[in-house]
Amino acid sequence: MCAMAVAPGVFSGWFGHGDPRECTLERSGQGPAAGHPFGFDIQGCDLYSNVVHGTRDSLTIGLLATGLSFAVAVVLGSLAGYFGGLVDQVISRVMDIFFGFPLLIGMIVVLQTFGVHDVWSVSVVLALFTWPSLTRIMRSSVLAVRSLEFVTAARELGAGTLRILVRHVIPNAIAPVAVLTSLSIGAVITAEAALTFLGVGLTAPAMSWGVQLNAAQEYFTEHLNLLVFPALFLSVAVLSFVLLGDCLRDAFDPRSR
Amino acid sequence: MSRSSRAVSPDESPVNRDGDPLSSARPLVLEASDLVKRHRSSGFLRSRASSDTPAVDGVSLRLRQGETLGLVGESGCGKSSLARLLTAVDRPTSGHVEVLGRRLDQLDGRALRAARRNIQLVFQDPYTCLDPRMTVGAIVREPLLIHRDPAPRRDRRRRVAELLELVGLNPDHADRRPHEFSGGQRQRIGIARALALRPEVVVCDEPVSALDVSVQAQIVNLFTALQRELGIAYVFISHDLAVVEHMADRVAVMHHGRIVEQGTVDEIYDHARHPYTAELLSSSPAPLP
Amino acid sequence: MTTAPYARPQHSGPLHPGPLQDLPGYDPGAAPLEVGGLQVEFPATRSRPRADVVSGATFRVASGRTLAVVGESGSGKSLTARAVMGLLPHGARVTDGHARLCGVDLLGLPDRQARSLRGRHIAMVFQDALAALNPVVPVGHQIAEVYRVHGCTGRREAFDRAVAMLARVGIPEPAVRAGHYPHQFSGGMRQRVMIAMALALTPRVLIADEPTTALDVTVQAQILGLLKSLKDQHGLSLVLISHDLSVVAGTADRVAVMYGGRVVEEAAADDLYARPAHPYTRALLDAVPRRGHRGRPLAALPGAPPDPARPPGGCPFRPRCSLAQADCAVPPPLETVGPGHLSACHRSQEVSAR
Repeated sequence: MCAMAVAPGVFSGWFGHGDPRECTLERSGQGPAAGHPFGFDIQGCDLYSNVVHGTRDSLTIGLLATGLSFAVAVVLGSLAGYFGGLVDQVISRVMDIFFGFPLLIGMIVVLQTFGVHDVWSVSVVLALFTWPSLTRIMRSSVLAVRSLEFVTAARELGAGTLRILVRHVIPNAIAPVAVLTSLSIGAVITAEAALTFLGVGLTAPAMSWGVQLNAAQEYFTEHLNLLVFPALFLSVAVLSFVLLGDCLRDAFDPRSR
Repeated sequence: MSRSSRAVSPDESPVNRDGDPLSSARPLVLEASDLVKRHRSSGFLRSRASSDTPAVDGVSLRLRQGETLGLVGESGCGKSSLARLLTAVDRPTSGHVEVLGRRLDQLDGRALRAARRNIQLVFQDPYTCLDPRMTVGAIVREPLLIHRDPAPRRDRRRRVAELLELVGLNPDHADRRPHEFSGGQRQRIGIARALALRPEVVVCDEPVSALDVSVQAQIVNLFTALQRELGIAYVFISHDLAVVEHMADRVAVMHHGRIVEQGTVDEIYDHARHPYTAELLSSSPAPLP
Repeated sequence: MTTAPYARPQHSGPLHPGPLQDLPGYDPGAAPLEVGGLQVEFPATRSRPRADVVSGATFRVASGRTLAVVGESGSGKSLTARAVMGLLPHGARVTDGHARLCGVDLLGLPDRQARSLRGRHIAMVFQDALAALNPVVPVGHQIAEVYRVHGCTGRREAFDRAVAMLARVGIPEPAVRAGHYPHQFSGGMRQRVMIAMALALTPRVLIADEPTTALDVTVQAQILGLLKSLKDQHGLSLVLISHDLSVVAGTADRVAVMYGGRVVEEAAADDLYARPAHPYTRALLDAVPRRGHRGRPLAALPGAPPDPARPPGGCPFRPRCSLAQADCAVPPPLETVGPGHLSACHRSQEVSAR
């Protein structure tokens, strides 16, 4: 299931029947036809290859944004949880500021100020608003691990702070964040779709599911297929990342190895 | 302490008897003087009210090579806080700790890490004291990686096997993880890790209290055998008077952060002078017939 | 076994207690509590195989007496008590055996009837009193609720009786303390509150599961003393569960030693300590450090207690036993080896002769 979600993204070039940009206006909005199982979009482009190619951008954004926020969360959460004191205060207060923001509005405002809306800028903005919740989880799980005796034992052996963090604290504290991160990949893909749908995300030449849904919003009463297929792919991808989260949870338990 | 002052207020003055059963010729390996630890409860936006009674309140003790000092007291008396001060896990509010004549409480960073080698800690809970993600071999090898000199790279594997064998574990099990071992075996792993750097002093904080009775005796025997073999000095912390009596040369009784009475096993168990010691002794379960 | 559930009955509305006398099997002359052939298992799950955690627990406690059930972790002592009280952890179930309260089999009764007996005629005290008390309800109200649930009294009277109960377990200023929350009590005082709650309805049997393990030695002595005096005042039968033979030495009349899910020896306390007839009991006694043994190694048992999921065949003690022989592959039955002295060992004569 996990592999299924990623495979089309990686191999999208092989699956698409022909070029997604090869469009003939006379086919605009036609239903499924031979060789074109999902039919055509309003520009007359093959919807199947569009959806399949859209996977790439949607997943890239999902992985990139969560990857960024995961990295930030692990670093900041570990620092806040392990050192406490002033470091913790500063990081926690910054997180609080982000928690106070209405997320979607925050993202819209920030994206408005960006000139380019490409995969990178959208990912960065999404990451900007997902790291605080992950960091908070990381911080509390580091707090719990820090007080365990094997950490004291490592200090007692003369291990340096870096070694303790990298060898003992982070590996034992990372599981909940990793699970939550894989859950939030789905949420981020959805958020990207929502942003694009609202017109502040990726724009037309890019091909994410959000772009397709955005394009479909005016026509879906007549051409239902424009809405259904990208939405279906979106839901399946989100679901599979949720399941990936469950797999990860099991994999992180040392007892199951 | 003079006899008269003790009679006036027995709770205030510690009973110190310098009956040293071992020859005073043996070198001191651990010396603590007037250790005080107050836990600050301060933080941003919180009141910095000075905390009430200190966890450790003016404790002094000395330990000679190869000797065992039993430290008894009830929960909350400051035994564990004291253990953390002696091993330089925490820094004392005042007072000092010397290991092999070298002060630990002023050192920092690299120097502290190097000096700590000579004093190691064995923990109470065999479940939380081992990193669950590491194999047993990696756990015992870690001290050898941190300090390069005790075993050169090519000897490490052999040294780990030696250590596991020393504590009665099968060296072939080095690639297993802690959860595959029973409580007693995990405690042995923790002991092997503590011994890897050949410390002079091992502070044992309730090392057998979490174990089953039938396993306790194995670990107690292991501690005694290791002392005979390696000449280690122990600070043996426990609430179990029977175990302390079995292990210790001298006993210190701790109450409300202070050592209220110190002496040889016979002095404490047969001729307790401090009322708290007497109460502790009378309420511990009667020895079996 | 990990978390103690609230000791309060988990239901709403007063129960209508059927008098014990009207229930099938009631026998005024029977032992207050008699457990026979009790078996408890954890069925297999995805991650672990089926485990027989109790495989044949048998003991009885006489009226007004104290029975100590002693065993290590995994011996099944706590699960035996919980099976009797109907408090088994999720997943565990009783597969065989009986637990008779004055002749009435608790395990054979319909749930509702069994529940009304538990709390009223048989009660339990847990090791961790802080987890077993509801943290947001003042203790007086928690005890009063016991009276209310069992439908005896009005609100005011229930509270007064709760205060009287707190006084009886030696809590100073009971009227004031009744309004305090559990976290405002020290460990020993909290255990007293638990005892007060368990004894509120003057049960015939009290099961105390490691009541003093979490306490300091000085407080432990006080709580054991309290249990003893309450037992004498009320003619209570006490089942004292412990992992430590020396703790129960001064309190128990009889001792049942459990190992690997079964009772391996049961005898009068003095007899058991003086002439153990099972090699496990003998080893436990030898492993305790005593005066004058300093410097000499303790007689330690090799190995570790058996894993209930992978029991050794035959006698559960066989892998650690120095007397084990081929016939130990057949599990020995619990047999009388002397007056009032039961042991489950093929070599019990050899053991007691030593």
